[in-house]
Amino acid sequence: MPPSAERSALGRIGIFLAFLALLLIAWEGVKLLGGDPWRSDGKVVWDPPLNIWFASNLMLPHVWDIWRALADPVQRGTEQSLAAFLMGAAFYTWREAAIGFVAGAVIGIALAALFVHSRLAERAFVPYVIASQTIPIVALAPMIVFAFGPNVTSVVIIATYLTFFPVTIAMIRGLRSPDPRALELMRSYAAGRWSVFWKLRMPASLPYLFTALKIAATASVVGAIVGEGPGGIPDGLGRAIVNFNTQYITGPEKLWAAILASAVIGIAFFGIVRVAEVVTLRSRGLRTEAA
Amino acid sequence: MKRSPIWLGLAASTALVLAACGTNTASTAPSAAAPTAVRLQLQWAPQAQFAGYFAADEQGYYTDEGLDVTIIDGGPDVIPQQVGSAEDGPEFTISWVPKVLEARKSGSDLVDIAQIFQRSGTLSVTWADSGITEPADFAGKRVGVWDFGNEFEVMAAARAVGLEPDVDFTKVIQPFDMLLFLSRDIDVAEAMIYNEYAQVLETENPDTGALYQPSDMNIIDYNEVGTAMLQDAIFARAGWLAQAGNEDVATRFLRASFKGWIYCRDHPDDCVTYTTNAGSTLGAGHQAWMMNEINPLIWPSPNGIGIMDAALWQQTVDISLQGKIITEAPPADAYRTDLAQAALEGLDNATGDGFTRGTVEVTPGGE
Repeated sequence: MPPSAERSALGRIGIFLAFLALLLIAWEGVKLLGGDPWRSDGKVVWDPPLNIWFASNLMLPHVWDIWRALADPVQRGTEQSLAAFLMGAAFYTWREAAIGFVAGAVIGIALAALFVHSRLAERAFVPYVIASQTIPIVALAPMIVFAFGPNVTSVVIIATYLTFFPVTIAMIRGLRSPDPRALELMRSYAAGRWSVFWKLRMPASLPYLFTALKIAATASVVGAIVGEGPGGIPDGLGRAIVNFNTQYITGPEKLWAAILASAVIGIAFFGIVRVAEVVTLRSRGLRTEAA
Repeated sequence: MKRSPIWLGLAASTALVLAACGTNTASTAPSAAAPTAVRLQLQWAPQAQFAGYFAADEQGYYTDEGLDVTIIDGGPDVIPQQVGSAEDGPEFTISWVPKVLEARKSGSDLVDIAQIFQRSGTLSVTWADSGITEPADFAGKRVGVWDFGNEFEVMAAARAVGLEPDVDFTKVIQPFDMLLFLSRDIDVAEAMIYNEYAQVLETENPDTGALYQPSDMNIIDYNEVGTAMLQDAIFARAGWLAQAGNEDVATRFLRASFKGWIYCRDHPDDCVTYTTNAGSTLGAGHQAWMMNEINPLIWPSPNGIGIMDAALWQQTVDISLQGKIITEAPPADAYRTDLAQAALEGLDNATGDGFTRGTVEVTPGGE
């Protein structure tokens, strides 16, 4: 990496950390102004002057309480910390999401390839592809589970369902993106559809594909978490969120920790796709804009 | 220009997924005796409400009866009576009686083969300083209830004293937690005695820095009000039971499950451990409370565990009719006691004579 790129990467991390610090300061600042009384060893050390409804310990736990909950055992009598438990659950959920992601990407590309080559198919099916995404996933998930049984397969199907759509739409555009002159040139070489597809359309569509894959990566994680509910999957983040949600009042910081874990796998998955994008596009001499 | 493979990105993702698939190789080896495989659909995620089934599993009672039982977890998005009504669905389902009565209306053939809970665990709780101590006090208040069929007991109690929801009081659909109650957005909250009520007691009162106390709250118990409805029961499909040999399977399943519940009556601490084993994030203190409150819902069972109390069945049906959950009374074969009766043979103290409820210390956060 050239030094300038290195510096800009460091700069980006610096900006991210600075904003994180500001966010945490604002978080605690609100609690300082209008939260519940601050206590240390049961004694009130600070009684906020205002009363802001969302600043109570129930709505907005202290940052250090969330941190402490992550370090504490997930359950009395066990060694495992909440952080370790959530990492395990997050990895489990990510695996479901990743399988759904790949299946959704393959289906999305295949559908787009079909639509680009057949106006009839495009006119006939694209409205259904769009309609499919207007059905709320919370309504669809129980039906998928009813059809395929309460198991990981159903969860993967739900993740796939959320993934294929952005890929299809972006790839229809991407596969149509080659310069008409390039298409004419290929035609003048008497190139068949197959070679036009692989040698021209696919490479031209790469920037579109990766944009869609980044959307799909985060959507697949959401799909997996939502699907784990009706799927009755005990090992993933979905169950952790349900448990901590129903027990919210006795440990709000645990639900916040679970939300943090969900965000982290979403960002990590996005990051993986981003790295693949940079590697693929740079090697082909294409520009990669900041994510 | 040097080119790397076009589909590096996809190839990398595929490799990741193949790796992910590779670790998914858990398989079940058939055992020598080839036990009968059956599934049990729980009504909710694992908690002490189902401790008897976990105990039957861990104590080997199911194995002793030649059964290989797979316990399927429920959750907020799982409708057990719907899952259990499917033709290839689980053989046994835990659900509440009025919910199944409603499902039967749309074609379900689930039959109550063992009425495990003899009493209802539903409460309404109010703050002590609100002065609301009985359903008649709901007038003009914001009354929280859960929906999906959990609200019938509260609504029936209000109607019995002449109060109509959304006319005489505001009916608020309450999420499955106690947040609205703690923030005083509702005056009356629905709570299970074995779960949400305990959650309040496990929560720190921000004004005092100590846990909320029982004296902070009034309790309305629907068993005393007289609008209690039958809750946890074991259901099986009539169509499945009619197939040769399945009544025997059901009887064996009931016997092992009854033994599990008897074990939990006599060894509640073990059953708390079995429950936390079944769901790794459950607070052990909270499950100990729940176990201690579940036992009095079952015990004593005057006619033996699992035997239907016909009067309570009638009360449940009456309230269901009155609440328009169902439009006509269910047929007499909507429950049966013969299988439970057969399962009880040879079981010691299956009535729980002389049962007294224990005491459990509340732990902060239910830990």
